[in-house]
Amino acid sequence: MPTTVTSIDPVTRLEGHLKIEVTIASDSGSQKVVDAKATGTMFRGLENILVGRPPDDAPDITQRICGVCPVSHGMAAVTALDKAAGLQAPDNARIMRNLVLGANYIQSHILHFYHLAVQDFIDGPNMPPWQPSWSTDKRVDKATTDVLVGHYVTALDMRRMAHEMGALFGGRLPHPPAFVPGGFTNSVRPDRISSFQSYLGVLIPFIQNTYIPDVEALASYYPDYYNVGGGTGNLMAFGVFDLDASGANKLLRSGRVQNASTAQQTMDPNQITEQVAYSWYANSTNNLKPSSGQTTPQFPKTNAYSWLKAPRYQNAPYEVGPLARMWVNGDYSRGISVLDRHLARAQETLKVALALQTWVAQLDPSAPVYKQYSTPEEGSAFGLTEAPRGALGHWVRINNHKIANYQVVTPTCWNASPMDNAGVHGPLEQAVIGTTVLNAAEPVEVLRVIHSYDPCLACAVHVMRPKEGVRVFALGAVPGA
Amino acid sequence: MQTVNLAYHPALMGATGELAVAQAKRAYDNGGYILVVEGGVPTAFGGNTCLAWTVQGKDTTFQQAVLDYSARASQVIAVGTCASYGGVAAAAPNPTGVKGVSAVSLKNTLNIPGCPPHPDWIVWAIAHLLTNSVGPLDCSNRPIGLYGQSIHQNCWRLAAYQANQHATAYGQDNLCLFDLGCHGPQTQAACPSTGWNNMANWCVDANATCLGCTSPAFPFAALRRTTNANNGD
Repeated sequence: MPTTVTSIDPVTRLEGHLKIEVTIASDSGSQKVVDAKATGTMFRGLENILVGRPPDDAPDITQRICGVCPVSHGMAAVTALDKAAGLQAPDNARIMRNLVLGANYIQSHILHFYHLAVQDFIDGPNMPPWQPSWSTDKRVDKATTDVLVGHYVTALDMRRMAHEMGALFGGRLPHPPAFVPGGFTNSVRPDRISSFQSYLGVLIPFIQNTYIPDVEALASYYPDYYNVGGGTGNLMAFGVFDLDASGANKLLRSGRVQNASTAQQTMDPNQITEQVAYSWYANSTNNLKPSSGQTTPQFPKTNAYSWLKAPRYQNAPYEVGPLARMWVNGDYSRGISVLDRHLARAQETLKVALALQTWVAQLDPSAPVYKQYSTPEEGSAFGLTEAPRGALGHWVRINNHKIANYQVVTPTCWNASPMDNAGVHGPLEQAVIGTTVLNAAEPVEVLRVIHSYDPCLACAVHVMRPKEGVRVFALGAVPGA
Repeated sequence: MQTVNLAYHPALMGATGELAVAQAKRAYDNGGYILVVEGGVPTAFGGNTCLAWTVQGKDTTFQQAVLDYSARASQVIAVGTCASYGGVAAAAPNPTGVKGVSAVSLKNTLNIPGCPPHPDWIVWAIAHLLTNSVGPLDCSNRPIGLYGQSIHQNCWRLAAYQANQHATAYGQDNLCLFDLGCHGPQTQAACPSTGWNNMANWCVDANATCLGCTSPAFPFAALRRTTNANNGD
């Protein structure tokens, strides 16, 4: 049997840096992924940059983690800082924070489907940057392809409008400066309320009449993808969009399920640890809770293959994201697969957009937006929320009015984590393993699985087709590194 | 799209893996392209905290890619404050030894800082490079046409400053934000005229202080004016 080694790096149409090494084995004429390793190939150490800075800087600095979902980091940071100071932001601030975050969900989900994921299924226009591209397993007919390409362009406009809508209250996007502990910097101006409503008047029909039908149309060409990319079956949500001052009620609640069941279990953040057996961090920091977590880089390190830590809940990996949120909330239960992730994401976009319509009408121009915040001398707290691509938590400890420790656990760390201490693969690795590949030179199936998670990383995937009889995978080896 | 041939952009392009890298390589072989770099360049750990791509099993660090590709470019644009000067990623203690692009390549580089960089400014830079009309740069290699004036001198609230009408807390419309720690007086950028998101808003009009995000020293030692609680009370 001939041996081919196909290297796919970078996997494009993603934000950030991730490498996934996939080992493909041939068995009776079919080719299947038998092992996968996800490698986060970028480390910046923003948590360590925060140490010693005033806590007020955390919303601004952590938003710089990501230009696609900065708002979620602002939300997590102000939630943690409000709690550490023992104050409750005014209702107007709670609502404006939700409005900007909701606008960010809409732009991110539309971006993901039309501009990042859809080219795994259809051929883009015959010019750069869309071509050249892989041609394997493109099943959509010419007329439908043309419609989707047209919607790619329309979606650029929709995305711009969602950004403008969020900027009305956030100040600008990305990196809105209005998220501050104590509330919000922006006032409630009636002209901005009506502008926000005008944008929703365009975005909601687009989601209902174009985005959701387009995902369903694509699914009709690729029904087998209801059975591809299942992953762990463990789904978890921290919950998001507080509906009252206490945060007890949320639009999308917190919770988790195991093994693709619908039996709800509670989510206790105290059960989360970050494991680093296979990550480029010192083993002395292994399996710590985020409240006392440490980020101590060590490169090179034996057996390690990622700059991502492996977050685990009671030692188990969990998938996070729109499917997990909608599942935990009782809004979606069809299944767990590539297509289910796309469908749940599209349906969530509509749910959030409709909620924004309700919330913007609840703003009160005569009520306060900010409560005077003073940095406590010491304290610790956490802020849990949801980025468009999944559960996000910030843990802060303040000492002598400065940040003494700061830990961020991102959704892509959950989804694209490397193996944990027990050698159990992360959710994305598990989802890729078992995927059948038609053409090892163009393993588009692997891309489809990766993109369905909407990882916020620029990916690198190595595909190795081992020689017959050769051991497929050696633990701890880092092929190509 | 008819004017610009976008040879390589990992977030947009249809090609992936080695097919994507081949597009960059072809531009490299031809030379004479405009290289637009986003992100600071990590230099610690041998550059291994950020990889650009892998070909035939061999990793290329971002640092090496910036060195290689700037050498054959006709022009280099650093987009964003990290690519220009190091930015947030290079803030103390600079865990990964991040440097700006020109500090690594040692080549003349047009800096378009901002965190984020304004899309109109990026397009401005490319259009003016193509028409050879960028004009003079300041000492931080920013075009004076974009960064020649301070936020403060064009601020919509300059009249409030001159009338000594100062906000005492967030949430107060139309007042000068100087007392809340606004970086506008020390920050060179066109925000008051370009606005953000198609003029939907900008930081100051949302009663948020200018954070100074186009400055070489961004993010400074602190971004906001802070008030400490006296827990002893």
